[in-house]
Amino acid sequence: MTRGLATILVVDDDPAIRRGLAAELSAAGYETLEAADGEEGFRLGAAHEPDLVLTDLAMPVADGFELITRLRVTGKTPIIVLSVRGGDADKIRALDLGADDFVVKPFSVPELLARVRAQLRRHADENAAGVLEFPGLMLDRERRRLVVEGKEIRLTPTELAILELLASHAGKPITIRQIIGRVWHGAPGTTPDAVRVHVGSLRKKIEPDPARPRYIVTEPWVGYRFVAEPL
Amino acid sequence: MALAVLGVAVATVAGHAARANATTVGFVYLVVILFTAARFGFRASVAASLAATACYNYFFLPPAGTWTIADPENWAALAAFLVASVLVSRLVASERRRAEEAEARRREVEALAAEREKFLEERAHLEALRESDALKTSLLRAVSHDLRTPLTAIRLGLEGLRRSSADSHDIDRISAETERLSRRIDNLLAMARLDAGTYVPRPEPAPPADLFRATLEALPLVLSGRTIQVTVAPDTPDALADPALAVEILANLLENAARAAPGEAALELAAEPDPADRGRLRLDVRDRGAGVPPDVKRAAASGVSPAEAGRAGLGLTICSSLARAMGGTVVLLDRPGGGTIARLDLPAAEGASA
Repeated sequence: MTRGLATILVVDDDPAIRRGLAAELSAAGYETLEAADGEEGFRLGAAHEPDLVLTDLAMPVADGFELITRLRVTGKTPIIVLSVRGGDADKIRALDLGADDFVVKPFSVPELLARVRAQLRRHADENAAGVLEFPGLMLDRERRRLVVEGKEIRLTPTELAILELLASHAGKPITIRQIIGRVWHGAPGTTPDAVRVHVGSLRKKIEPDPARPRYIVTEPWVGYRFVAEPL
Repeated sequence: MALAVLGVAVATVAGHAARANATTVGFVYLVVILFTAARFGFRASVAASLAATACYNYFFLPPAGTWTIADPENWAALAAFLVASVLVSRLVASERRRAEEAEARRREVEALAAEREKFLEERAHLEALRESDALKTSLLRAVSHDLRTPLTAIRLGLEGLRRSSADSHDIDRISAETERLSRRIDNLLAMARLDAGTYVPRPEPAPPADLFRATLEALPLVLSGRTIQVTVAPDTPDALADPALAVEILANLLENAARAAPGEAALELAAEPDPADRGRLRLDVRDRGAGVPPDVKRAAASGVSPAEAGRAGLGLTICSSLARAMGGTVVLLDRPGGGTIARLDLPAAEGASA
């Protein structure tokens, strides 16, 4: 973990938001870089190799989509998008271009910091061994074993594949299209409803309290997210 | 017809007075008949032809003043006159009919042109409407951006203040108020978008637990320090709902409940199938406050819009119209044992619950 030393690049054309974000992030112990548009963001990103990029989408010179596209050509730095409410098409587009997560304006600072931590941790864990461990949940990918709250739980192969995909990207929203691509290998005829049904039965097996889902949450219209820690 | 006969009479008198010869009078008669045919049609001109033939015979063919004709050549002349006048009548009358048809066609064409004009006008109107829709959309987008950007900046600024301030109580209060303000902006924008037709609800199968979770996340400050019990009855189906609208409604109802029932008592979020209708479910927000406000009750009883019943009523009206947009309803009920149940009733999604 590089927390405390991690550098975060903040890209937003609104100076008040940019400075506010930078102030909150440095108070939380991160180094910060500020850019007013995608062009400057890309330049700073190339020069300083930040650990995470936080970017607005609508900007005058080179918008957030262009920045994501250009950053993904060269690397895997986690990118969190600042999106507006109702901009679901924008969210899905940003995720499909390679963004890792989004927060909706006006966001709360604790929520944003939680997302930042989740992305930094996920990035650090990316090449970790076959065992995924979270509070209360352990998934051994090689032995295909799942233990929740000390109890071993049997999953169908499809459920296991979905959980593996979501949990290995903990904190990152995975779109329905991505699930169909990775779990069903894009088999024709696989519908979003089929995904919903399997996720539903998976949740019934692993959620300790079905009224308060703790591990898998729905991102409306987008897909699902495995929550690494309670937000 | 009378005019035709009069024309024949005038020609007869004039010819008689001028002592014109029979040939000249015959031509004058023909002109009268021609005129009659052109003006009054075939029947009138045939009548005029017969009258003229009779007059021609009586007054002009020798011996004049009798119906007899002395010279057989004049019989031929009279017969030729009759045939010629009827033929002329026919020709002229058919010409006239054709002219009338042409006129009718012209009128039809004119009517069509007018229709087309009207159609073009309507199309221009529709285009203007569409443009005004596009204008509304971009206006709403700009307004929402311009309202949310400063709100985001204010929230960030408050976090900065919180770090440097010893007493965070005031800052908590201001933060809660900005949260409320941003929800009001969301409400109004959602209403405006639905109204303008620029937001079309997109229902999808939504597990009640997810809707409740998102609702709680939307109100971190209002609910801080409160106990919230969440229950989902085991056989509750998924809702078929636009998740953004459903969460907006539930957040409003929960915020009202927190305000109506201050203190320690737990607030409850509960989902259950509608016992009367298998195709629907209920999402309840329950509190132990003072119950349904009397002015809202009065408004409901007298059938006026709850919006006229003050602030609580306005919130209810907003929730109701958001719910209606996706086939749902919102009602306030007195809760047995004290308090209020705010109930969002929604259609259930088909198939297995997820």
